Amino acid sequence: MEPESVSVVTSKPIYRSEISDAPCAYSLFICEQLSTAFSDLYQSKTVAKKDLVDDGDLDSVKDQSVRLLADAPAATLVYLSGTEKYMWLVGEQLKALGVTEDQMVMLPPLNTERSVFCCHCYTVTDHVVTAPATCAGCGKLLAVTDHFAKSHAAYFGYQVNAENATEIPESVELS
Amino acid sequence: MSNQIKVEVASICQVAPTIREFTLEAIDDELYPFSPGAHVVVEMPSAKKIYKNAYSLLSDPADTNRYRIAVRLQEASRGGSIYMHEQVKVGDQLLISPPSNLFSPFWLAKKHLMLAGGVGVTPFMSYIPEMLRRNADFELHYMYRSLQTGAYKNELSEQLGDKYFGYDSDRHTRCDVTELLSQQPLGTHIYICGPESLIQAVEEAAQTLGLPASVIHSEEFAAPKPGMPFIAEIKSSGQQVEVSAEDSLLEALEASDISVPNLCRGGVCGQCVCTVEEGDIDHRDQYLSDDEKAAGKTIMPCVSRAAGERLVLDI
Repeated sequence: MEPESVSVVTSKPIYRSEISDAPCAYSLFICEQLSTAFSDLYQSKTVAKKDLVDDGDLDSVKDQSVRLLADAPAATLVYLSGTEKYMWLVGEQLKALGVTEDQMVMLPPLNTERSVFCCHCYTVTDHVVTAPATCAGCGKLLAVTDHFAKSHAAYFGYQVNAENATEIPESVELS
Repeated sequence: MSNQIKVEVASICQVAPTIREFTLEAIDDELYPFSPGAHVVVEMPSAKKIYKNAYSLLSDPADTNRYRIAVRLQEASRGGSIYMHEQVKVGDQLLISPPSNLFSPFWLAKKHLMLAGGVGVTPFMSYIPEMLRRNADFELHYMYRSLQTGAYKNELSEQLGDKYFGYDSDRHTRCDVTELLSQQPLGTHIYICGPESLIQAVEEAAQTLGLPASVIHSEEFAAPKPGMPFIAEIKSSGQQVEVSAEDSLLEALEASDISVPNLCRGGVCGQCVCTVEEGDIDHRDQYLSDDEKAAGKTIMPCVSRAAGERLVLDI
């Protein structure tokens, strides 16, 4: 018997490039690498107080966020730019400081790379652009799903050929 | 309902000109533990009919020997609050539902800002002991009219010191909600319990200032208000149910042996939602979104009514 299995979990985040002009009293702009577009966005926002953090190092971003948000008002908005993994991991750090998800504006990720969480060995494999992908931890060939875990900033992956190791699906480029 | 708890009224106390507090103790079994913000639905068997209203538990959640509730005598009461004020005596037995909670504090908040309007102070009475135990950062802003409400204001002021802010509109002291919200630090969660006008004012101020919607929490149990009589037709059976001016649609359905799952009976929990096939709706609940209300395809029969003479329900 062939069990029919269709993955229906789709939680791939949707990013919008148009940024609405929501009101706020303080804006914090955090980017992995400053681009002209992000710099323009920072310049264009008129708000009582704003700061820009251009830093790819998560620990350093954390220290700066703690300092900049220490006296921030409830009406704060944070704009994030970088790879998907960077934005969500910074987002996790911000949540611990009291920033809610609806206070974060994430711009479209800089590339289509995914981080994939292996459900067999729990290793997160970074920079995945094609599926199936080889797990950096256990070497299993993983199907890359659209099931995104925010706190890991990674997509759920499971062994694609567990039943038959010789079955290797055709490689597809991820979007 | 079989899971109702039988309680005895151990004491009654007038806590404000229009508000009475009832202390309820279990008769057969122990009372269930509850969490801050929980409510019970009290069954009130008046001569005319059985009313069921939701009331917040205002006792300390750590005390499971008794529940305390406070009932405001509503000006447009259909009988529920009148029954509690005029009929219920010490020693009487009442049936209540087990506690449920639709208004729990968000414990990960950096600060809790509670805004109470009149008898809306009740859920915060169960928040406060737990917040004090957890050493949480909080403030209570209590808006009342001393000629009618203002229950517990003196003891709260004394207990909470600089965490307490009272506003008596019968003495012309008012709360500037916009100013208050603009002073709140990042990570503040805001809880509102009171009349719809207060909830709306806070939500509008929050939106104007740019506070995220996810930090605003509110609860208002709307006892069903009377309206024009109408006919509810059941699509599946063709049955016609007459809804009188005084009855809610849910009560009329129940009287015709049509059971609809329900919990709070006050337009908050969403359990009793019904699909409307035909007819205009007078929405009076807090549950459906503005878009759902505008679509006119669903109704909360516990509080909402037909806007015309007839509604066809797809049940």
